[in-house]
Amino acid sequence: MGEDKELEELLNKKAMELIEKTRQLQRDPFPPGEVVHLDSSNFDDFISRKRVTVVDFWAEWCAPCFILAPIIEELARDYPQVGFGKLNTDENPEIASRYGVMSLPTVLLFKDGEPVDAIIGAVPREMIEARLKVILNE
Amino acid sequence: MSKRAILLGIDGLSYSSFMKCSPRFLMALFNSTFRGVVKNDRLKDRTAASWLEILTMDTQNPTEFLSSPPPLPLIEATRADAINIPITNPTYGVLSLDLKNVDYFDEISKVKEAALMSLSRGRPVIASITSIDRALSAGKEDIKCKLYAEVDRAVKELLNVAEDFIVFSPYGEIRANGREPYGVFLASVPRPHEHDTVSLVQIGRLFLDLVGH
Repeated sequence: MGEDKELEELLNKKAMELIEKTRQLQRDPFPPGEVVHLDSSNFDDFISRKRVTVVDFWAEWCAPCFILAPIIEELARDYPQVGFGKLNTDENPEIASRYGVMSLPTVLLFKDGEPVDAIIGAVPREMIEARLKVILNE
Repeated sequence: MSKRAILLGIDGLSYSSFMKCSPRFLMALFNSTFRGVVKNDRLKDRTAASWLEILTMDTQNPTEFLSSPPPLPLIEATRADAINIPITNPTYGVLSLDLKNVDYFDEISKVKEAALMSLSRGRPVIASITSIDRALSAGKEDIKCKLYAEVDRAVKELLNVAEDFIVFSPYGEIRANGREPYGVFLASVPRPHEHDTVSLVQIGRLFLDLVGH
């Protein structure tokens, strides 16, 4: 009797673990409306997941990057069909150099995984939005 | 050596609100002076400890407001007038305000007047404005840009009188998970390693160098 109960508890525990694992797999690693923190482990997957993606290249010491950040967050909320991400160039220099990012902040716009436009500096929302709309309407 | 230099800390001032609130003078400073990002992820939710780290130029343990201030090497070495420093409550210095009761806009005005008085006497100044942080901590997001405008005007008046300055925030805005660990840093003099963030201890040391021992 005692052994049955123990076995039942063990099976229940295993079942719960399996359910949680399945839930984790089902969760979108790049949820729409959010700015995803990117690094070398998820960057390539991110830019190829959606037709249009926007990546904000930044660093901790870069003051204009902090001015730009809330604009990127706003755009992410307003354009859920677009993937928005940010990449710390100090922690991921190989990706920054792959795309020739020389100054910060730089915003790269990707279409079908390929960079198609670059915006340098802390610019107003309208400027990024206008360039984004062009790519979305192509 | 006495010098009309000011170290002005504006708690909660954040680059992330510059675009939204457009503080004209601060934006002009941003574009024309030496700038950086303050990093304070260890003490960002501890006002008194953050300020103590600057004033002692040494790392501190997290503390709440003190009942009396310890020795403050930065103030002793620079012979600066301390104005409204939030290491105690009421605040420490020649201007001491009760942070539970003082009106947000009154605080800005009183700090500005006291700092102008000290600067006009040729005294270095170490001053703090806590209005933005206190208002946002109380959920008053609706007056944020009005406070930014008021702070902007005060900074303009002060820097017109000061010979040298460091304007900074020890941490950024309050968010759901605590304060942003990044603050503002604007100065009239360059600092070594401009591609590094600025620590609170460094801010104290930079002001010491600015005033001269």
